[in-house]
Amino acid sequence: MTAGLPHPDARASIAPVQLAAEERTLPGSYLGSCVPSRDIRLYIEWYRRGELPVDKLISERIRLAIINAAVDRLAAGESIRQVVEFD
Amino acid sequence: MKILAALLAEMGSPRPYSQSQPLKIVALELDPPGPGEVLRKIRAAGLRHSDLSVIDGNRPRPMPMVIGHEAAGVVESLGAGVTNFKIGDHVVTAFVPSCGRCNPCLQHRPALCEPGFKANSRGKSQRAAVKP
Repeated sequence: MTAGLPHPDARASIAPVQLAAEERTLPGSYLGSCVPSRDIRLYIEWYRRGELPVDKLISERIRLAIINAAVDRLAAGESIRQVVEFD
Repeated sequence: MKILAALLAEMGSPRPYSQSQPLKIVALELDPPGPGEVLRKIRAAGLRHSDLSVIDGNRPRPMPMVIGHEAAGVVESLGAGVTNFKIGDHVVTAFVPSCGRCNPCLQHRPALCEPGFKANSRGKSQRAAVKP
């Protein structure tokens, strides 16, 4: 499974013999192949039951005024998810 | 109405971005919600790698663009014909718009919505795209 969006020029190499000899497939997934109207309510239920603790992915809660510094932190790999909070 | 937006004028600014300041926080005029649209007040927004990919030019998009597409908020007003939302509803954004009628949508693959893909590449909604 490939997920995420690499640079358009990025290339990966595979041994095609494995695709045939082991009957493997190489699927891609865009946005988790999610159906938002069906799935997001499920995610909210799981979160409320404590089964999907997405808070753990939040590195910082920030204000919009420091957004450019926040992009630096993201580009440097210093943050996973920064959440901009508004009044 | 006036909104506050993170506006990206050009891609590929040099790092550190805290010095080159590619995102400008500006006041813009937002049209009221059109048919089938809602206006929502954003309470929290996630900064995503896909935002960075536009800022650094890895995923080129038409400029200028107001970026950011992961948000939660509250519905403030309704456009004509909207019946499945009411004012005060808590909502989140879907990352790609989906029309519900094209082949991928009918196959329950809304992330691949054909008009949605075009709108996402253009950086504006179908409604905005057809306005003179």
